[in-house]
Amino acid sequence: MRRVQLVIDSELADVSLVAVAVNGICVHSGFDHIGASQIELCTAEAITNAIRHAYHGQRGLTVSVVVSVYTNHIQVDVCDNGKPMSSDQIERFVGGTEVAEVGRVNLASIPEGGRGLQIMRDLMDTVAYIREGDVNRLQMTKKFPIIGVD
Amino acid sequence: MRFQETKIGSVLVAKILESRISADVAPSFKHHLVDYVAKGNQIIVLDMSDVTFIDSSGLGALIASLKAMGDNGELALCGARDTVASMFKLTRMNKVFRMFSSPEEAVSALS
Repeated sequence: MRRVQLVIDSELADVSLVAVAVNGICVHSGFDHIGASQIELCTAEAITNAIRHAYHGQRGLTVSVVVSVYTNHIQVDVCDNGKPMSSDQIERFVGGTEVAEVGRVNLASIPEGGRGLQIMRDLMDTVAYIREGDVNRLQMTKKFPIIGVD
Repeated sequence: MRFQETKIGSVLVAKILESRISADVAPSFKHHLVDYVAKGNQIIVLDMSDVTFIDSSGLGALIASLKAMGDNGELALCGARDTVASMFKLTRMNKVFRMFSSPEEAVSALS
């Protein structure tokens, strides 16, 4: 297993620095550009959630992202020291959110936010939230594509 | 955020000159789009051919802008790359936004 840790300040403008780096690590490790982009997106969503919800947008704090490359999968851990998820948030996180049929007919009812966790759940193989002491850890894994199998 | 704007008949084609629409720029992105609407543009085509990344905040800005257009307006997208198009499909926003392959196709369909 190979591992790299990337640490940024809790600035939304810095999220892309880590996200792009994760994309590069994924491509280097064997994902195609779509798979790597999906992991990049999930990483960005997780960091953004940490800054917005755990830190309430407060600057000067740190978000740590650990990327672990195993033989058959990649694991991304996004860690912060902010407010833990509430029981409601954990319930929605574990159970997912009901996805209503969308379209122009019910445009007013389409929410403008709140898709981050669902995107992570949809794109990654596993997503877990772990509270360790004062650390929030959002852990995501995705298997490498199997080459040569139709 | 930077845009390149072209008016073709009644259609405003706004090319996004940024590669990423993410949480840090989403408020500015939304502000620009709502400003287009406030200036009387009823049909707007966003050329996303330079955009390689959009997150849920960017998507939220688009949805807010579409709502701001009201029933008589149209906010369409064109030139979405595969990574961006897959985000719209994943979130089913491809059923909300009309998506075209090029600005020409969009203008032709919406004029």
